[in-house]
Amino acid sequence: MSLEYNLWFFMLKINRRIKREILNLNITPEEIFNKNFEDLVHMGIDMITSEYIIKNKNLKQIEDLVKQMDKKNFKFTFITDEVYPSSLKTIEDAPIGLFYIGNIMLPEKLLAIVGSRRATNYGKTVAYKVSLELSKYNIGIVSGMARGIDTEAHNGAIDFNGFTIAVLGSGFNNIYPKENIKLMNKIVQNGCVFTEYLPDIKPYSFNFPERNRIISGLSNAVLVVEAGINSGSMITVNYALEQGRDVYAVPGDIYKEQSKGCNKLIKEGAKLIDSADDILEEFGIRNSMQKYNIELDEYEKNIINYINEGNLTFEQIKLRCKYETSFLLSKLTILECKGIIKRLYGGNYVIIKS
Amino acid sequence: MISRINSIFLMGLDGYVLDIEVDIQNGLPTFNMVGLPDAVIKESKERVRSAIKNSGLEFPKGKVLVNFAPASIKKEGNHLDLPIAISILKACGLIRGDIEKDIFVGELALNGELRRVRGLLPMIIEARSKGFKRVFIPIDNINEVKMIDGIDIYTINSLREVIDYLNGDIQLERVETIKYDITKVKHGVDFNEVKGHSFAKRAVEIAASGFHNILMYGPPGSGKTMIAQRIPTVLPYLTYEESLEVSKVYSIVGALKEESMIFYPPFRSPHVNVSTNSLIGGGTVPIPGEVSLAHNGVLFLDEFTEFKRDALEALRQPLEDGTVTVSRVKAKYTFPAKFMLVAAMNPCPCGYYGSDIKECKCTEVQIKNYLSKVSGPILDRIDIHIELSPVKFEELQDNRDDISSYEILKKVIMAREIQAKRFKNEGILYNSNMKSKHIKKYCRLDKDAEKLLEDAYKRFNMTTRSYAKILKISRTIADLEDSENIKSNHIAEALQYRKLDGTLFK
Repeated sequence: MSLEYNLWFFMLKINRRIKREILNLNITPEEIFNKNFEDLVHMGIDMITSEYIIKNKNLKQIEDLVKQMDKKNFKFTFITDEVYPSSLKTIEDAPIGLFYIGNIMLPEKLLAIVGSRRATNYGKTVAYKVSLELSKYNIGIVSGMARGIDTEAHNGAIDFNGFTIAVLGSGFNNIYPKENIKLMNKIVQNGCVFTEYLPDIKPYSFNFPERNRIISGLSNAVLVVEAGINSGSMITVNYALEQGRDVYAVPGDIYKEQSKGCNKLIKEGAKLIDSADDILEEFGIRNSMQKYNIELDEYEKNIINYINEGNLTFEQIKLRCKYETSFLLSKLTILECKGIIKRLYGGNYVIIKS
Repeated sequence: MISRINSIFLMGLDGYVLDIEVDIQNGLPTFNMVGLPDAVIKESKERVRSAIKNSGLEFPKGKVLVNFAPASIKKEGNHLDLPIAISILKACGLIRGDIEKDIFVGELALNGELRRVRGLLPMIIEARSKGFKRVFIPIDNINEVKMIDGIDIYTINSLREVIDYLNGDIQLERVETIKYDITKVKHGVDFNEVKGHSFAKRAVEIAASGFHNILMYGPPGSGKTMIAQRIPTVLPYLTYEESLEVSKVYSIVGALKEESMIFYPPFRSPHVNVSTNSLIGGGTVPIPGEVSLAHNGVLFLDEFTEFKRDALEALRQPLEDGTVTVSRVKAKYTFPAKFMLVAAMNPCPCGYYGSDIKECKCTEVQIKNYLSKVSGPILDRIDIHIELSPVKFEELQDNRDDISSYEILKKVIMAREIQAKRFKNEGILYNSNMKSKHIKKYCRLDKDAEKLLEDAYKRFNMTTRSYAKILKISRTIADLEDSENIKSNHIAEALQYRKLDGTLFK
């Protein structure tokens, strides 16, 4: 029964700060539910709040919600639960409860990757690559499941079967953006999707900044891949700094709007990240992986060496290696199948596994 | 006094022989026509009357009745002026010679001179197959018929000239036939002028060999149009029969002027504003559209997404069947439309999505809407998808010789021969026409190839449809190497031409 009382308490329209103060009195929601007005006031809860609690002792709505959650496999964790993410308990404005789908046993080390929704190819590649690399070391990737950087960050982890966490700015019945529903289904297979909002809450714009405190709060550090000066990612950074999390940034093109935020962070002292190794170093993990554990022939190694110089189009690779067109095309496909390179929009090949 | 002579009219692409009978009886002068003539033929009364008078002859005084047989089919065309005039003169007894085995075609001017007509080539071919011996045509149409043998063709300037000839007063020389000779044809462009773009050239080579449709996308200035314009240079010249099919279409729309016949695969690039009817054919009396003018050649649709949606959807039938059928209440007209579709488009409305030259200004929604203009069924019929990026400076500097159209053409011809041999008894011509039973029979993979395709199927989230496409393209690539079985490198290359299915179009 405690789930119902927890939900009841969670749904009371009382300031989160006051709710936390009440819970600090070492009392469970069920006990609160069973107390009368005098008891509550006696315990030190102010009169307006006490009156509100007494007036709202209705569990009907809660029962409907629980039924819905059972049917759709939504789960709920309360701030006092053991499984509630411990890193979140310590932050200033910790959520009283979280709805989630998936596996709530989070990895020990978590990194938030945040960035612009309108990301460039460069940013998307970095997000994907870093996420994929870190997954190998059992580092969970936290992001917001928005378009652009967020999507790529999740994808990187998914492609290595790693653990990834999405924190939403809307209820589970209103996934935003819609096209990422597929992505969400992949995330919950091995990872977890959180939201602080009731299932029917729409993706209101003011939800997202509020949601960002959870992204940074869950993580050990925040990596900003591409962000404008006044973007949501910068809000996440501010939360991270308040919560005492590390902030890392990926440098970008100084003329591009999407890079200005990152470059500013670096100027102000954020750690510059140019490979996944930098993060491993910060997390105190030694890079012990072999460079390639897949067999490559001489031609394939050659091609990789050329692409390592920088992103190249097909024609540029051909100019350098001088192989026959059809031969080179087939070698590129084989490298793609082995998961070493990837072709981006615009026809550039990049290394995704180094 | 009754006379009866033959002429020809067109229904769609085929000529039909008709009888023109004239009866002149005593009575008040009238001039009537029966046998379902259209407005143009009815108006010919006045032209014929003036032309006869102005040729220094007398128009018969009495009841003149012209009958077109068979009476149940609607006839149309300005080319019946001359046969009507001849038939009237014959009925008056002004023509002495035997004209049973002759065909007359031409429009009359008021002074008795002859004017050019449309669709002469299919008419003459029909006349020849029906066993007629002589054809009289306007002198302006001479180019169209130069390569037709097996029938005597006479070009005439005026009504007077043909009468004098038939009466034995003057001599006319029959048109000299020229042999069908393709070696004289020169394209104005060549692939060796295209710097870099070896990927695109290879894709064109494969597309031309297997007659695969091809879609090119890339930012403005990446060379899409330049490459498309050179595709006809790597298509084999038309055989005499193919050329006849194409030339008939051109004759009907009146496009055969300078050339006697169409020798090389046509290249049509209709503007994005083209209406559905002008693209696939139409009109009260239907004439062929752009898809038929591109028969045995290339239909190039630049800015593919900007075409009207219904115009694009109308391409489905010709892409599937190689013909297009226009239905009218009285008849159905079928035109040939076996073309190679070459489409070009930008990846997004501003054109720079994914490009490293310029930043894309479009939102995701705009891009999605832009791409959704091309429907899935149309995309499914395009086997090869390639992405072009603008040529980099270092490629311009590269001094190695670029492959020329002639070198590509040689390979294409070889691959076509292999296909012709393989599909001899299958009723199809090219790898791109293969249905699933053909794929099963002719696309045998070796072990490595199978393994690779299985990997790719999982990694690239392929569908059964894209799977079939990959097999068809691999078959063509294997043919280019004269390989019986499909090997893993063929599959690997084919996988490079699949991109747009999986990435841009979600």
